[in-house]
Amino acid sequence: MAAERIGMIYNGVWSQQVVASAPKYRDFIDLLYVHELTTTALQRYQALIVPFQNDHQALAHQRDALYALLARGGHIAVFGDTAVWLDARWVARPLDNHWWKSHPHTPPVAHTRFDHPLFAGLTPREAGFHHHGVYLALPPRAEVLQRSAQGEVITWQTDVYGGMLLASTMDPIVEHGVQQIRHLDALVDQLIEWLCGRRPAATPMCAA
Amino acid sequence: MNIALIHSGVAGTEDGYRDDGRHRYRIERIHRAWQPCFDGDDVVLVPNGANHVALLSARERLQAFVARGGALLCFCGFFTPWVPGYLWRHDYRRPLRDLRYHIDQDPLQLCDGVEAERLCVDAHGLRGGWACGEIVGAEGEVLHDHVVLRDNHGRALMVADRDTRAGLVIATASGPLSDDNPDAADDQGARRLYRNILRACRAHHEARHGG
Repeated sequence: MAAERIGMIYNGVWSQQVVASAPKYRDFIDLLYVHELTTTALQRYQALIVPFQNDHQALAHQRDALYALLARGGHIAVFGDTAVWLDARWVARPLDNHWWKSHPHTPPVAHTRFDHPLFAGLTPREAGFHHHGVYLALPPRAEVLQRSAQGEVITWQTDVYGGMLLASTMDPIVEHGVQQIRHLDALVDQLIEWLCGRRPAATPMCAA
Repeated sequence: MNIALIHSGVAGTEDGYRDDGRHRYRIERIHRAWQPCFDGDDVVLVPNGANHVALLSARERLQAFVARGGALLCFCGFFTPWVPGYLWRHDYRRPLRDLRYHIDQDPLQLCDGVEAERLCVDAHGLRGGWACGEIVGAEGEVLHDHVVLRDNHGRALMVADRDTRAGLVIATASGPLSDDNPDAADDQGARRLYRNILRACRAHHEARHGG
């Protein structure tokens, strides 16, 4: 893809702002406030990130513009829960953080397609951590990229709309902003590169 | 007591805030042309995962609410300057797992029965998952007064101020608080702290209304 900037749908949540404004990422990401979105603004982007803790009802007002972006070959990566504008069905599951103490190298996202560019070269700990629910129904031609230890769908992608729509109930953006997990640079860097073709500097966000 | 629960469209926001005989919650949903009215409310509660761009746009209404004696509770990182007298700053250079909390000043007895260590270590045994960053004054000054909780770097993690304005302002450094917690042993942690805050709000309300 061209060396373009990525639009990040922004719900005024502090951790979203932290990542987008960090010196490491600010040359890659534009914040697009969810309540000021317009079709014209979305037409400027070939790639979008929709992080966790978003207002998906507000975002759904731009459903046509989102699918138009896909139709012209763009990429959208959606993280977290309840994206009501997706042709998919999400359900809640209990949050599992026990593994950090009990099995720190066996995250609850147990099965990952490491041949996908988002996860290539990552360790299981870098590629999978806690998740916010699972998907029970997926759009046509969806390819599952990650499953939980119980075999439920965490991450999928489909090209049925033209470009690539990826959805995951994990969220590397809000978690990276919070920085309780200190090793998410690897996954976020891969995400940025997958979406815009440029890779951020290797320096960790919290050290820049 | 009427509580306006600010809802930023994030799923699960209302979890942990249920009506009972003493508390009635009203969902105040943020939307594109949001102009909230808090005339019938005794408490405005901003939970974790809040839209601080929208809250900044309602700053004058929120300040007026506190000026006329209302109680403002914020349990999310208020990085835009809408909380009267205070600002929250993020700092991701200090690993959260290294933080320890302690009680500083507590004239409202918000920490009665609360163990700071229970706040700091969650139900899964993970340290540092509650608070992030620090609360400073509106001009960025280090706080000496009204600080309920500090961390081991001396930073303010929770403030409670009933002195500066007619109303009551209680804020955490993004530490989530609600009446719901999957950890049944949370009676010395976040749930206890939240219930104590509601008690302080009721006392404030009764003092204003002669109840």
